[in-house]
Amino acid sequence: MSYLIFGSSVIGQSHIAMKRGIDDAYGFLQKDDSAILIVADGAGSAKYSKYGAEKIVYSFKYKFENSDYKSCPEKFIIETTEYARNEIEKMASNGLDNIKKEYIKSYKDFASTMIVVLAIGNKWYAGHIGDGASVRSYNNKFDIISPPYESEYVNETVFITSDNYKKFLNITSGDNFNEIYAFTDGIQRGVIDVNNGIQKPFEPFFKYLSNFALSVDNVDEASNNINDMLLNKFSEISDDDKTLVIMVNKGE
Amino acid sequence: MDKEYIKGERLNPVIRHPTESKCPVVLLLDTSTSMSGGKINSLNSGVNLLINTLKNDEIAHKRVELSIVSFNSVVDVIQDFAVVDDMPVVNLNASGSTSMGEAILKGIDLISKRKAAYKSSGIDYYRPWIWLITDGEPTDYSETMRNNVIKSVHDGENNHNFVFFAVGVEGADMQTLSEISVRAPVKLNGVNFKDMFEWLSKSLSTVSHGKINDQISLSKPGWGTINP
Repeated sequence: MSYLIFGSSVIGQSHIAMKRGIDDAYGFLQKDDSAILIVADGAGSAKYSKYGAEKIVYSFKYKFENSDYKSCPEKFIIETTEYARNEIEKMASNGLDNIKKEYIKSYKDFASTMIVVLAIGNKWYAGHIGDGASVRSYNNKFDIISPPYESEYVNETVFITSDNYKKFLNITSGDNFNEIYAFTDGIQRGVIDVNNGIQKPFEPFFKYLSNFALSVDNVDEASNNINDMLLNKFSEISDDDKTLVIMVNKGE
Repeated sequence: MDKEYIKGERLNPVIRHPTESKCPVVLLLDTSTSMSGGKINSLNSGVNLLINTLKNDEIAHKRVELSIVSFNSVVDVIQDFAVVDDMPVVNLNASGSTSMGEAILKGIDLISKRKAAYKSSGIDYYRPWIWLITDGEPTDYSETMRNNVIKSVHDGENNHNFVFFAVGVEGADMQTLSEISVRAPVKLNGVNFKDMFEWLSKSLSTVSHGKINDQISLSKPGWGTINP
């Protein structure tokens, strides 16, 4: 089993205006017949959210490399989410190399959403807290496998640092995929259609992206192409940071 | 107070910059006689400072929509929701009594109507803010009105319909404000409206720029004392 994984993050105009760096983070790894991708989006209003996002990515990569994720993948996602939350709390208590603990008011300063997709063979498992989404492509059909947390208000969502974060952890799973797309809310409005409260992937976009993804043989080049697309095609959609990561199932 | 004492609403059907998410804010401003002199002058300067500061914010000037309601013997929607670029200079005069109860209910009603307008236009929006500033006590406060106001504000907060802030100027009945507001009211230091509105514009700027946590967390107001 093999996978191709590639993607990119770009800083949003609002972050540039606020003289703030990028708060999105992403990562991926492959091992044996498995792969994991992680996308995290730090809250714009939380001072050190970028470190929260990076900690989530690091925690899942670390646990993917060092623990048993195959015997019960759902449990792996739950336990690693707890691990990441604990690591964030520790970071808040102890401070970081470049941030003294006196400057940190609470672990909520590290607020971040998270999307994790774990693939084992042809099976997929998704864990999700907050906004952003992941979409599956299979036999030219597209469905949302982990939808964004719904709130009446555009800027209010839930985070790994929320009081009831375990309640907000949405875990889904299923068989078969050709590609899986995970993305932050910076592009969400442009690629998810909402009709009468029902969310669906915007098909023309995902068909275009699927054709592109299936033709990729150089992941560095593909990541650059994603980077250009995020910069040039989505700046009108949102001034937030934008991240898109794609996992292509190459089969046996 | 009868509805006939509420002056023209001047409802604004236009939503400028419709591709931008909107951050609606209602200012409920006490313009009763006790606000005369230095207080009303300082309040006018503060409101105009808020408008001008937001005008200079690249993002907030397109997202924040202000509505201004003054209240004395009458409740007057002197400005329905508009982006700050479209707002004239504010020049309030002080006279009459303090129809605070009716003003609060009017503010909640304006929020409800504006949210409906956003929804029907498919515009995303932030949780609305209601900002009450008074130096007195309500003169329209029958038992029924009192219960209605407290219930409306508490229900609105608990159902996450809006965020309600109360600011008491010297002479304000802080006990009544504590009853109304779920959040502890803030007692303004002197007539330090300038610092308060600077803080408000910074807070609105923060909220309108990015995602916030599941709890509204704002910096400590240096311009006043939190009333426990």
